[in-house]
Amino acid sequence: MTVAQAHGSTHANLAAEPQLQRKPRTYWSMALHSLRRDLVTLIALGFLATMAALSLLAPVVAGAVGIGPNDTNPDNAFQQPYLGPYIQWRAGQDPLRAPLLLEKAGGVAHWLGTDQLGRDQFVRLLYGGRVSLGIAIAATILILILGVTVGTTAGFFGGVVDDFIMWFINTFVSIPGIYLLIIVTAMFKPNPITLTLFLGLFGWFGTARLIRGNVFKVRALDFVLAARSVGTRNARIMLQHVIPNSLPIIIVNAAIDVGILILVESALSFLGLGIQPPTATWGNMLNRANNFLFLRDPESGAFVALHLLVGPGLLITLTVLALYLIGDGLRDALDPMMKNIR
Amino acid sequence: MKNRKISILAALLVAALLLAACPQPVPVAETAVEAPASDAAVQGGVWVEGSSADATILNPILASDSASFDVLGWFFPSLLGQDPFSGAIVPTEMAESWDVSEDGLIWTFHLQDGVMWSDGEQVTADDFKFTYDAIASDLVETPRKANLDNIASIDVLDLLTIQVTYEEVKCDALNNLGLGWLPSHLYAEDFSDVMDSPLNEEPAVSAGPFIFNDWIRDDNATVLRNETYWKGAPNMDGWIYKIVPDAGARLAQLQTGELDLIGVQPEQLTTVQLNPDLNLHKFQDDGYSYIGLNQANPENPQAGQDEDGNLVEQDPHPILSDLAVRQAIAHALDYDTIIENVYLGQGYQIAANVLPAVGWAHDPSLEPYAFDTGRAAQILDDAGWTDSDGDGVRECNGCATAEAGASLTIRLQTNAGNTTREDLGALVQDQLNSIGFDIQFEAIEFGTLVGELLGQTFDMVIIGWTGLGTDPNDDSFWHSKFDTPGSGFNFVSYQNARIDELLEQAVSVPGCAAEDRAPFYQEIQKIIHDDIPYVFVTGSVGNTGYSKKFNGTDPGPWSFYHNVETWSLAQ
Amino acid sequence: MVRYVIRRLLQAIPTLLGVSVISFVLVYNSPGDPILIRTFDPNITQETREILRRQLGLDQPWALQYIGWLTGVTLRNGDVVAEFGRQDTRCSFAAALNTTFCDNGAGILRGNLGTSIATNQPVWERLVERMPATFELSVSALAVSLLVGVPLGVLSAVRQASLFDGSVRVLAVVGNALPSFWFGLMLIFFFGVVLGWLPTGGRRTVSLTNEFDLLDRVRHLILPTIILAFGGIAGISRFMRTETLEVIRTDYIRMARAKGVPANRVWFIHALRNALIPLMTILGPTIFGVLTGAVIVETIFSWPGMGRMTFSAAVQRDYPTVLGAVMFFSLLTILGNLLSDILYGVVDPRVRL
Repeated sequence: MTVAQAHGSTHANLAAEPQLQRKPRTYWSMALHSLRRDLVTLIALGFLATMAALSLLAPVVAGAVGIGPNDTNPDNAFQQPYLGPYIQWRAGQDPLRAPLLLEKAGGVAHWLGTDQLGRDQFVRLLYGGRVSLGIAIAATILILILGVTVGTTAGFFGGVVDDFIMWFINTFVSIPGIYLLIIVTAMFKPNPITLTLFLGLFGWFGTARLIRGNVFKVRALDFVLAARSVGTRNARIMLQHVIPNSLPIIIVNAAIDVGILILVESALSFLGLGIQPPTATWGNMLNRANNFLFLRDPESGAFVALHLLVGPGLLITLTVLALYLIGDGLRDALDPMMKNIR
Repeated sequence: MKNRKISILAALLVAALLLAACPQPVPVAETAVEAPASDAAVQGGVWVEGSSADATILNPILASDSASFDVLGWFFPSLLGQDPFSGAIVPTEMAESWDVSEDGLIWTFHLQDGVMWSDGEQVTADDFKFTYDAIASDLVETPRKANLDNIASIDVLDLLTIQVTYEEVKCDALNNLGLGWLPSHLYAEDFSDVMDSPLNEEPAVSAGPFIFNDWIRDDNATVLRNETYWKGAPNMDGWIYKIVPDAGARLAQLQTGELDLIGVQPEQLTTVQLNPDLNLHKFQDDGYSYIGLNQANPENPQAGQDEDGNLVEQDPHPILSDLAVRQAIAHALDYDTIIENVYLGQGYQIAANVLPAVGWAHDPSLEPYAFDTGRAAQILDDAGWTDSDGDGVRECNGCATAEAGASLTIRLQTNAGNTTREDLGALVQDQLNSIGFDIQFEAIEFGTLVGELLGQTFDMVIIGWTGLGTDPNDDSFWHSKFDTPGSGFNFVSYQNARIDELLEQAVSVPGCAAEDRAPFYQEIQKIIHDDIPYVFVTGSVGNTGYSKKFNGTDPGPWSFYHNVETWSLAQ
Repeated sequence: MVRYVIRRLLQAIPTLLGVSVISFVLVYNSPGDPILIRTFDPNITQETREILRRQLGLDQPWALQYIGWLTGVTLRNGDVVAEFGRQDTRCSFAAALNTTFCDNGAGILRGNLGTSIATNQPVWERLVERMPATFELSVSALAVSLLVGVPLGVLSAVRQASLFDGSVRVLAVVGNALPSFWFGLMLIFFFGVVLGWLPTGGRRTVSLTNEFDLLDRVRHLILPTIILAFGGIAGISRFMRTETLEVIRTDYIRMARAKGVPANRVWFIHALRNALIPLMTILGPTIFGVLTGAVIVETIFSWPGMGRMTFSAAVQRDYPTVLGAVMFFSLLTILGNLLSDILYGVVDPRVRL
């Protein structure tokens, strides 16, 4: 029996114990099984996948609509969403408004309306999603790489290495992260790449601490001791045992981190420190729309820019919500012990 | 242990650039003035002004941000008044009248008698002299030192007579005498405590309509009625300066009555107009927005003059030094749309650097550049900027200034956080790209932008001037001696010997009569208009929303509160 | 115990030194010149700028500036005693080294955070002025988070996978998922402007007397507290849910259930008590998170707190204030963590300090 098999079967045995009549299943298939019954998490996953796909396909969609994210048309500013009138038109309720809107927009259907410069809100939201999601995901990957590497190193080697790494982490952690980011972004010019780097470089400390703690636990487990005793090299032990055992906690954290980072991006935009226009992000779109909250039509008194608030606000909230729910759902699914209590 | 370093001061312009919408002094108004209060004044009431930024220091010679002046302006007397509607200098403050010597160098000011500090001491010529001597003192570090340039001496002839002697005639010299006066009887004679005095945070005495009461930083400052104000004690009990950083929150508080006055952003206008409890005061502000075009190579910033005052030939900007390109830019922008959509109607097109508010110097015959993309494209074609590879961006094919084949790629920058300028940038980028430019637009942090501007390392910048005042002298933007990388405000490296000469002559006309100075400024405007160092986008319009709580408000573009002592609570 | 505390405090020294170096390097090597920002005015001459820069020591290499900030001692070439010597700064010239040594009495090693460039106040004074506002908001947000978050978390663990559990999970994260600046403005709009129930911002109704009025203070606290507490409730309820789940499956709880102790009694007396202990470990960081994460809430609600001050100091390049605030917050974090560890040891006898 190789060491790797020993590891796998340890878990299988553990999990199979209370349900001996079934055939033993692996940890991951069990997690998948329990996830399949978790409707909330599934919906969240579906939503996120849709958002990611739409954002990735932004240029295709923009091509289909026939307009780019930064194409202005000032004569058609603050157009209300075309969607409602279109449905009414199709249903034969209001034969006038939709064609009028279409004519005014030069034949482009602005499904979610236009902003102050007549830019298409729908296309901008998709492009904004690319940047917002892209930054959050890229930064999270950076966080994971740094956090897992450093955390595993510290936890596995312990001693002086651990002391030094922990001093380093404690130092950074005791500077409040939001200030660190504010200082850095207020003083350096943020663009998508630098912002990703800042978020990644100042975001991995918590992950590293978490992984380190987990590694301490795992290191003491029997199969790792066994691997050591048969002379397996450190790197191999880490890659084959320690990291896979920390994987659940890593995945759960990653989902939540992405959500937090989307919020951080929007918060920085509010403070004027995020990605700068004309590049669209959900954060800076929402922040700009906030300014137009009180914009009203001089004759009718109607609020004319509320549709700009709905899109980015809803997308940020729902995406972050989905990510948190996925994190929660995964935590439950990946924790084999949870199955015992029902 | 105390360690008070020198105070350095946020300049008026900074504040204005950062916060485009504070109620500021200004020209020409179109305001619906209320019926003046007829009956006897009603005592009591408090007026709350909302501000995005707090004051920093309440000392008139150390402060330079507009928020500080909003508060300290109530306390300190000044030599010269300003007409709230025309902006002209008038004898409504400490100077009752003045005479000028024939050579125009010696000015004698006769002061109001009987003006008292609130502790009973009289305000005299000594206070004025003390204030200006303090600025000159080595113990006082203040950016106001420039106010002393060109002043040869200040003499107190008697308690109520001041004589100021200038070194040479400068037509805008009176502007330097407008600072508030310190109460000399409360400071050490040798100025050693001016920098550190507790009076800088809690001014103990006042000679204005209100007396300092309390200041909680970043929260509010309150002032109380001065019963001994020489123009008559105000009817209201006091005035509060409340700090509300978020513009949306300020509008909300104006609507709920928590605030009585705010600067209204263009997108908030309709809400104020539709509210029956609110008034709107709209005025032409003394500023304008423009796109600055760097005439010199940003890779190699040079000073405009050498040490002997001779012009230094500049390394020209590879693209923007080409007049044809500048003309194409000026014609390619749809100014009406910009004013309508970006400024939401709060602006007006201008042709050159002197605003119409300065009526005697403004040249109304100059036509602003017209929006004409066909003509812009034609100019570029004729100048050798054509799109030879069909990628939608023009290249230099026989152009005057750039290497052959260089594409028409230009950076355009503005300060991040100013949403109006960000929108303008997006629109300018789209409009210029549609005729074959490749504009790289980015909004960058203000501090960084200031570095690039003064360092002269930018290509094109969207920015604006505010607080230009009533005198048309703006030599610091055009004169080659102010083309000094790292500090000068002619950061577009504009260089024109004729302009230098005209600017100098226009401020040193003997007698300084408007009709004698006007021809110089008209020629300056013509040249600036033709040379296009700036593309003038719009003149500024300010909007102030305020409550109807008091009768008798009569806001002028240069002062909202000029008659505050006569306001009376509406019943 | 005492030895433990002393050891921890000693450990904090290298951490704080590290913080000082990192923040100093970041701040001083950033683009944007604090002098230019303040003197962006055509009427100010370059000479004035140079004088200001020299007086603030900004013309020095950053390593020397760092030493000056740390110790209050600055050194310069040549005999410049006359230029820099003043009442609060003692200078002496060492002819052998051709260097002037100046001691301005400041230096963070002596507990003096320096003087703000923007307002000319001591940085410490600026922090102290804003502490009550920040403290008030944090305490109320934390209290609400605990009072709502703990019961929610325990209940949803007890009824794991029920409809209640699901709704709590969703509600808790919704609160965390809303962008706070947007949510805050919506609350102001509806409760302040449309309904007119609550004040739209500030710490008190401003008046000429600024008298203390408890009811008025509480009314002003409500909206910002809601925004801040939403995050806290989400975090605490999730934490309590996990902890309670863990406690529930320990042997003694099973034992109690097997013995027939009523379910509610088991969960709320035995389980809750034990699940609360680990809460101590996150309480320190949570207090701190609430304390510092309030920049946005402070801006929207015009709350005169430390977060907003630090933010505007960063934008204005007020180096001494930014650095002073960061040092202060770092110290708070370290003390907060120490406190929660000590509390943990006090309530849980298994943990030996």
